[in-house]
Amino acid sequence: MGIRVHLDRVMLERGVSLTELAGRVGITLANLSILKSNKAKAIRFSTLDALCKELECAPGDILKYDSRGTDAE
Amino acid sequence: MKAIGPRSIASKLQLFVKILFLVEIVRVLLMALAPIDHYGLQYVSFDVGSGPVQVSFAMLRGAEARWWIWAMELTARFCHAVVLYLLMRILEPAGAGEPFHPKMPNRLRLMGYAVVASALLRTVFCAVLLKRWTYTASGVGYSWAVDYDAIFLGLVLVVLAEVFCRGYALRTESELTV
Repeated sequence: MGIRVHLDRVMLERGVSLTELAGRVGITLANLSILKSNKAKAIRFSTLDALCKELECAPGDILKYDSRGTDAE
Repeated sequence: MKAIGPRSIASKLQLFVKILFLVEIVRVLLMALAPIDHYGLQYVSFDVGSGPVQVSFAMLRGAEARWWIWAMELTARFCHAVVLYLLMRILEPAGAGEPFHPKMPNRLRLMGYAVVASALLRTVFCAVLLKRWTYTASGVGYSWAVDYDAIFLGLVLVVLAEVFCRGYALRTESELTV
């Protein structure tokens, strides 16, 4: 899949830890870890909305399209 | 009582099938090692066009027929053992409460193929035996029959395998939706 999640970069810029963000967003640490490690198959709008709200960013800051990743899937 | 999960019908069935499988393995080994005369087989039963018949060994011509029956019975029992083994492995994840196991579709598909192969092999064995080695009483010949029920069951299992394949894909997608 060509969609890449750059949650780790945004988290580093905001100085937020995974555990702290999971608590603030209201999703489990396991699910947030799946998202951060690019293993997620889908993301709910509600999760994306909560992440953007907590990290004060746009969806485009978290999700990027990488055409090189399309062939690898 | 629950159908799947620990202490369910599936877990008890798995234990039962495991015992059946072990018994069947012993029977296959005994039959493979023991010559047919010592096995105590006096007749063989078939499903022919007009219904089930029992052909006694007195009605068979030559020793080759007995070896043919031996091969037929051994093949049938081997297929039966394969089906029991796959059934045991299918019931394993169901007994653990996880029916959408990644290996479930393959096991179901293989079981379907084994059931179909077993039915077809038996038909071929029967056809050859009846044509080549059986004396027919009063000139009445037996016509061989295909076990359509087994073939139907096998094909249903192959379709079910595909259903489980889709089920597993859906479950994975659901689990990886954040």
